[in-house]
Amino acid sequence: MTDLASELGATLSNPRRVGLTALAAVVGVALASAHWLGLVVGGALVALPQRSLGRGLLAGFCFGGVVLSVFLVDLAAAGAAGGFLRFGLLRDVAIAMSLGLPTFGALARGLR
Amino acid sequence: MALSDAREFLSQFAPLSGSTWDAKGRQLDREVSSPYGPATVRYDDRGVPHVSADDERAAYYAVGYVQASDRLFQMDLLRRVMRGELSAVFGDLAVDSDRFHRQMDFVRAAEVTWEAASDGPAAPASEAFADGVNAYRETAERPVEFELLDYEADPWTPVDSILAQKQISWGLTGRFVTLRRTAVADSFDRETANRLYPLPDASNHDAPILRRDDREPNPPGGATGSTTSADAATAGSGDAVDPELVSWLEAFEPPEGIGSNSWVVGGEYTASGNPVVANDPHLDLRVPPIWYEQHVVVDGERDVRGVTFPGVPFVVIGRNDTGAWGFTNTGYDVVDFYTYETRMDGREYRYGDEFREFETRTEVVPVADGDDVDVEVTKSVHGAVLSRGSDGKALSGTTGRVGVQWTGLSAARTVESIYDIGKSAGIDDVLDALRKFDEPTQNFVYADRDGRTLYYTTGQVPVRTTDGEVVTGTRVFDGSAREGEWEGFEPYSDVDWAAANVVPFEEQPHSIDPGYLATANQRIVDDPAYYLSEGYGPPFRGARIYERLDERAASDEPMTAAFLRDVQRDAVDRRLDHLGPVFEDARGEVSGDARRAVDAVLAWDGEMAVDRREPLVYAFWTRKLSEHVFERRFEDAGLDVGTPNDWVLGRLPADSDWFVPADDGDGESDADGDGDDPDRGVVAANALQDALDAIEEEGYATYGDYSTTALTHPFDRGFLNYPEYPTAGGETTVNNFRPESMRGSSWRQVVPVGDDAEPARAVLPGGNDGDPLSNHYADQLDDWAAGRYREFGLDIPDGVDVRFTGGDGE
Repeated sequence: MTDLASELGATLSNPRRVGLTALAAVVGVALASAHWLGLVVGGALVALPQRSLGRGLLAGFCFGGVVLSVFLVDLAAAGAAGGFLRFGLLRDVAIAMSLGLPTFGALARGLR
Repeated sequence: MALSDAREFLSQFAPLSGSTWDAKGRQLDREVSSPYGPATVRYDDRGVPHVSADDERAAYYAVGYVQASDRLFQMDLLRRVMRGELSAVFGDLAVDSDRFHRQMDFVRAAEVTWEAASDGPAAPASEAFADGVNAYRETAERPVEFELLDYEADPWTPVDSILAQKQISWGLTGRFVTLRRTAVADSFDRETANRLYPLPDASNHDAPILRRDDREPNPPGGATGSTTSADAATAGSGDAVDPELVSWLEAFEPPEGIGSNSWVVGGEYTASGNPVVANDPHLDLRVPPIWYEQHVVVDGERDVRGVTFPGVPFVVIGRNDTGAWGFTNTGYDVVDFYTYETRMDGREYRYGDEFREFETRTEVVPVADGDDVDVEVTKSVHGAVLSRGSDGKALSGTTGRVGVQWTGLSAARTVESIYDIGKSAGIDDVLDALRKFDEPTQNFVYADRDGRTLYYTTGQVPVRTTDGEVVTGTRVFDGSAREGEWEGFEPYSDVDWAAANVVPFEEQPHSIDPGYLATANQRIVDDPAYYLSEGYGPPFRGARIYERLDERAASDEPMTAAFLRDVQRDAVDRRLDHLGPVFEDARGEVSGDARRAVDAVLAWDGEMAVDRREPLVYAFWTRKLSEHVFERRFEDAGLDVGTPNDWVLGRLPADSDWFVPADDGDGESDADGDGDDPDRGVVAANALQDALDAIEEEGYATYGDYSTTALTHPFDRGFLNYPEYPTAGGETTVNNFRPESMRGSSWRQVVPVGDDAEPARAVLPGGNDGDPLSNHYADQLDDWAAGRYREFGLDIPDGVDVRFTGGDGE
């Protein structure tokens, strides 16, 4: 936990990096709203500005959290949050995809 | 999972972009343009649309729009079934269904019905409804099922609405009992066939719908064509029936025992002095439900709320501001079967003194992910000619082929009738409307604000003649000899019903202003003036309802709506009394746990309650008993057809040959060693042991473990299926639920008419919205399972959800 907090703190200490990451997240959410590959690409985009692969993976995972939040808010706005919660296994898979695909995409940081 | 499958899965279910999650895209717009003028839609807290308009077409445009938004896939599915177009979407598993439905040519029957109705009073609203469906279809996001199968719905037409009505009509009256009885007579003998599939008989039980002592039961006398003797049942010149054909056809007929309850109670028996109507039709329990609830108000013309079949514009069962009504199935015989003498390699058939060519065409059935299949659609003067294949081989008796005549193959005015009932202002209007209710044959109960009550059987029932003599429809007719003619009836055409030889409306069993009267698919009347039915449903439910109503009527307590809801939830199985002697015979044949199980069942009160073990044992035991008595023997005879019901089983003599035990190798049951001595106790004990083994294998402890709402969507995917709740009731109880086949009370309503103090109540087994993301996808299911109701009034909720604007109403 301490490691995670320190990684996050290091990332947030650089305003330029924060700006790039935020921009990447916005673009990533837009892409993910159009196609499922956007989840992977979004994860890669937020990972690339990070200083290390580990930080990139963390950024990808956090981006997944953002995606999940936007997804749930979107469903709630359509009155469908309750319906989603009844989806059982598919609900769990959707949550796993929200977090997993961007984290997978963040592996691209290792190629930089 | 192949890579392409993974891609498809992701495109359907990935967060944000997955097509399944586009609930917002499937939401209705707040404002919708309508060519028919303004209307409003307000959804209540159960997802029921309340549609209001000054103009009828404007209202039904909105009804079409909201039905499509809630149930478009279901509407399309029903239409595809009837058109024989399932394989195009579902692949080769649906080819048999497509072959049958194309051979019946329901589409042509619907077309002639629409042609006859297209200048009638219901036509403008039907057309506006279709336009409303198409407006949604063209502008909104596809419902999730279309996304999953990746296809678009074709434009909706008024003919499709007729097809939806035909589908339920066939589902209620398209029975092959004649063929079944004939196949059994061929395999065993005529006497056996008549014993196993008995014709209506007044000595059979004493709980008909119209009881002798009731006030004004009106099965009028008069002209009679009644020839219902059992001897006539399978007599005749019809050829042998191919049992495989019967087995195949049974997949397309209503399941044995499907039925419903309804009753009407006059004001003299209620606390308020106003009548009450109760109805719960027992149909397939599906996801989404087979019924769609709607409330339609056309200013000054109609204020009607109730349920309809998705795709049908008008309320079928429900209430309006002046009355309430309900339907149950009568079990009338409106289907006949014919064989022909043929020549020219089966292309021509003799009809009286002349040979005629079969009307034949070949249709191509597209099959998703498979090769197209050709289906030969053949017709005779009587109607459809069904066959398993389409190889064009010469007819030889019914081997492989049989002609079918059904009242629904002609133009029927049913949609116009329910249109009229919805805007009726009392019993006189309703009686006028019922004259046009050509199909299906139904028990209709009704009460109005003036305190009038009514029972009438609806639907055209043909009077069959051979050489001018009236005959029953209980056997396969020799079509070439012009047996079993329906005078004045022509399939796939408009029929002048007034001139046709049918049971006159005035002579249909009925009762005007009955005190109280209950229907549960049992025998309607002891001495009908006409041949009406080839066999009614068992009397268990009808007897139980009358038992409850009689008891209350004889007491000082009035029949309140709460009491009548309690009757609707009654889960006491009167079949237990009927089969009791069979169970008792088993007692001496078992010991240990099995003996204790027998004693528990025999001491039990018959209530199919979820927290008891007795009903669990009883439900499995009765099923296994039927297998041991009938199914085993049918299999031995090479018969794969529907077996007799438990009423028939319970009436078999104890020493009947049907109680010869299966050879278990111990020789104990066989006194003379020839292997065929009946021993009812051994058969019942063997069935019990099978039942206990099956229960243990499933791990069930109480009835509620088995009797659950495991209702499935046609796709049978977890996220589309309903949650499982334990629910009371069994296959022969008033509170009707069949866990094995998932059939039961598909809608429950109890409506005190004109009584504001006692609100009308109803419930659906599921939810009104077919979108799995909707809050109304399954929001009534737990209430239904627990026997709870919610209000079913004519108040309109606050706030407008959708406003239809534009148009000049012309």
